[in-house]
Amino acid sequence: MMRPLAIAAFVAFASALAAQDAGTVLDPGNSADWRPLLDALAARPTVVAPFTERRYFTFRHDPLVLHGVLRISREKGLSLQYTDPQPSIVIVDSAGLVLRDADGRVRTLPAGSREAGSLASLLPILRFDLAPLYSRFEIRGRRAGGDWTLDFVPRDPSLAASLGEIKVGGSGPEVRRLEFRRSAAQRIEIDVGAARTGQDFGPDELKRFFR
Amino acid sequence: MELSRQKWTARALLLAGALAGLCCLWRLDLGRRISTDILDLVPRDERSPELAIVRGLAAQDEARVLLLALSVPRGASEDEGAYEQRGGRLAGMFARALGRSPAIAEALKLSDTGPRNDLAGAIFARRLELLLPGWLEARRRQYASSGSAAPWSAWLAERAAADLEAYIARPEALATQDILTSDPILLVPGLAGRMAGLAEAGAAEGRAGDYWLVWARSRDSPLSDSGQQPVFDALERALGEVRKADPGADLRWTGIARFAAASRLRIQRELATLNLLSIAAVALVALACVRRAHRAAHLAPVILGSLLGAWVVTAAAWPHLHVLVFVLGSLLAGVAVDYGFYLYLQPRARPDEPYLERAGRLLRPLLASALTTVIGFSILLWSDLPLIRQLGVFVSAGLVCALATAFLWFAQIRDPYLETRDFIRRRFSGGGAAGRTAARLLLAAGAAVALVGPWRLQWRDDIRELEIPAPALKSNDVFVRSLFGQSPRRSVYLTRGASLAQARSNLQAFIAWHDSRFPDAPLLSLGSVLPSGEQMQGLAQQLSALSPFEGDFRAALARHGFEPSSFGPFFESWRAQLESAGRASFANAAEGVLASLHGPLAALVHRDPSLCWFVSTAEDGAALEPPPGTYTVTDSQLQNLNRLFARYRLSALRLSSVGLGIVGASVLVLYGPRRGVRIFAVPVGACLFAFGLFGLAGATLNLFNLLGAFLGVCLSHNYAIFSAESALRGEEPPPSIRMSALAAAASFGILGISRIPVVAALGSTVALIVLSALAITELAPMARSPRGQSPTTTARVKPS
Repeated sequence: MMRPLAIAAFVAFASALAAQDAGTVLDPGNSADWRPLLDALAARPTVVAPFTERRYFTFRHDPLVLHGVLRISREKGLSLQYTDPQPSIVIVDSAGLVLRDADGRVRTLPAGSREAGSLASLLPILRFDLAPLYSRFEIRGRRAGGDWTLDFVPRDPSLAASLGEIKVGGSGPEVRRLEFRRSAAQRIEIDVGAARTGQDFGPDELKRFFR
Repeated sequence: MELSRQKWTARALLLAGALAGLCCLWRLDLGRRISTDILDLVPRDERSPELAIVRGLAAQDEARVLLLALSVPRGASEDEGAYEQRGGRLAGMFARALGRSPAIAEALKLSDTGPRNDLAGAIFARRLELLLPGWLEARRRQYASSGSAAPWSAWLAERAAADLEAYIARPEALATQDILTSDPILLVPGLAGRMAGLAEAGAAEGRAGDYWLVWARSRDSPLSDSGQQPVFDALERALGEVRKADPGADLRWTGIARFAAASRLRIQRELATLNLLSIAAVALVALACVRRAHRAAHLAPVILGSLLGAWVVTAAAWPHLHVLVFVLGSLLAGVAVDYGFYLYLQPRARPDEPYLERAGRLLRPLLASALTTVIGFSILLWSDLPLIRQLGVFVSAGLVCALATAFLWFAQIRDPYLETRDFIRRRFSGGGAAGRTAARLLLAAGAAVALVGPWRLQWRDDIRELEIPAPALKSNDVFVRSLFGQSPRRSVYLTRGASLAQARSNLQAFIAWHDSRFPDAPLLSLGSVLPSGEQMQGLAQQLSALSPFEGDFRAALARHGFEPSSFGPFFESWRAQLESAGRASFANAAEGVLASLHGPLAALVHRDPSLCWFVSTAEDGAALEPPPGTYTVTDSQLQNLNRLFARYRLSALRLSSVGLGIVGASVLVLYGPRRGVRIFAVPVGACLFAFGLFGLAGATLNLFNLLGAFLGVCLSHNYAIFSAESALRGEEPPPSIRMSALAAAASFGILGISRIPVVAALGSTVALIVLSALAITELAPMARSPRGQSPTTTARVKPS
């Protein structure tokens, strides 16, 4: 008799734990607790941080590891400068994506196109202006001490299937980790290093790393 | 003939002619025979490849495309996400409402990925069949130039695995990772990279600022009635439905139907205005020059009889007539009235001279001038251009009817003589030696212009000048097309062939030419998805050398960190390809892809039994025309058809020269060599002077200036004949010459202000030539030495 009860209690505990782990669904009505943190994240005019990206594919033993520098400009958008294994630059702005490879070839993808996909979604997310995102994503937030995580799940099922889930995690007013997750075997993890904020980009830097 | 009998006979003949003409016109149902389709101006059997493409474009679905931009006002506190969703929803509502109309064959939001996905699906399903030949060919070249000692298969496997590893480090790999197990040699991702611009050409996101883009295709041709107003109504209804949901929504759109409808309306108005103004100008000249002006109304029946006869004969001769024939036909008013002038203004030899006797005196010059002009214009029947043939018949028939009407009309009125005012009869005294010198100087200056100016002429034809420019519609068109991603730097090329395989082969030559001229502006073409015939032929041999490739590739994948077992779908396809190699044909490979084309992508290729073409685009801002060997034309070449019209211009020049030769020969036969040459020198001199003036002014002339010159020469030739006839009789030149020249100049001057550039060209040329001819006929007697200055003081010259 004790065994079924124990199992039921364990299931209830696990469910509660899972619910706790899933975090709170944020909407315009209940995000007041998050406002100071989001405002602090959104207030940074510029961010420069090194990053390490791990790409997991179903057809590879080990993740592909890439290194680079992330730049965020409130006006110009997001720039990912890959330095290793091959140099390239990805720019995400309101017009879409710009891909510049080491040979100087430039390719543009309009915002909303399938190929722009998950990367294009990063821009509004990293601006931490949740208002325009509520209609497109279910947003869940979790906090533990100074650490926090925001999960963005596309509301459109077909988009959810192609994009997967986007997770942004950090500590205080710093973004530490990004993840695009379609499945355990198909995901991208980006660890963001120590960021420098508030430092204006010079004209050369703007020209090289933004559109 | 007894006077009353003469009158009643003339009246009966006039009435019978008018009734017969009106009856014929009614039976011919002119409304159904008149076309505003600009392509009806060019022969249906024209073999020019540019024109065949233009006809194909007009006939195929591309001509029926409507580009629609729905603007949705942004709410005051609306966030971007909500605004985008609302705009997309309204655009979908608009497209669905439009698609329900029977006038619309297809309507979809531009963001609708259906057409692109269907094409991508078709290419992916046949990726090895379509893309492997080109991939192998390119890799083979790289292998040859690498100098590698490794066997071909092992080298290829290592290269493909390395490429795959490099590719998955690229951002694009995130979007294509699902297909990489089926396509590790990157056939489709490689193509997607090359064709990216093609997808962007359609503004793939389906939105430009506050405009949501909708693509639609009408069911009927935009040049037909059913392809115009019903389409406009459907657009109104669809917009009305959207406005129920959002009253602020608005629509900007463009399409050939819009231009065609506006062009038809404008040409109809132009036709009415030019004809009325032309008749009014002639009437004004008549009123200014004659006493008892109300009697000038007797000139109107001559013009009306001429126009009626011209309309009936031309409409009876052709089942389809372009409306431009009738616009240009309004020039008849200025020519036909000449015969009225000559008969009506000819003074009586004695007070009781009967009409028939007076008319008899004029018979020779009237017949000489009318018949030589008719013969000259009849030569135009041999023209290649239907418009010119129709114009030749229109003018010839009109002149014969004008002469007949004038003879009959003045035979049945009580007083068939109209006295002119003094000023129109007054001859210049010449002012003695000073006047003579001035006249000679003017004639010499004119001769200099005539000799020097024509060498400076530039010739260019543009079919668009046959229509009235519509700047507002054009700027709207440019705006809407820019929303759809088109820019002035983007060039559009069409590469043709008698079959799809031939067009693909020609495309290869064009790509090579374009790559050499514009290395930084890659060419985008659906044709490059298809293998060329040469690649297909070499495929079997290529594959036979790659039997060890599967094993080599598995090993290479493992070396680069991949799990070879994950790529099972690819190896299955590869084995199937090895087995079927050699049996694949170009037609089979192409058919599957082309069958998947619909929506905006359907315009990228055209197929019919005798002509196929591929559309290519490049951001090259090119002003270069591809060489003939590439069988490629730019869209701008198709828009002006200059090359084609230059051929017609040469043909018209040859015919005009033959016509002029006949006119000149007729004069020489009728008036003898010496007098004939002097008569013929007037129109030829006037024509050369007019061309000289155009040349010195830097004008660029076209086919219609040439036609105008021909008409001007025929008209001024009449003045020379009547002047010579008067000189023969020892009389002053009749005032009818001046009135005729002024009426012609006024009538053609009206055409010179037409908004249709070619009509204006024709009108201004004729007006200038007739005024020049009048000036020559006035100045020549003044410039002569006193001995022969005045016909009244010289002995009567015997007719030759």
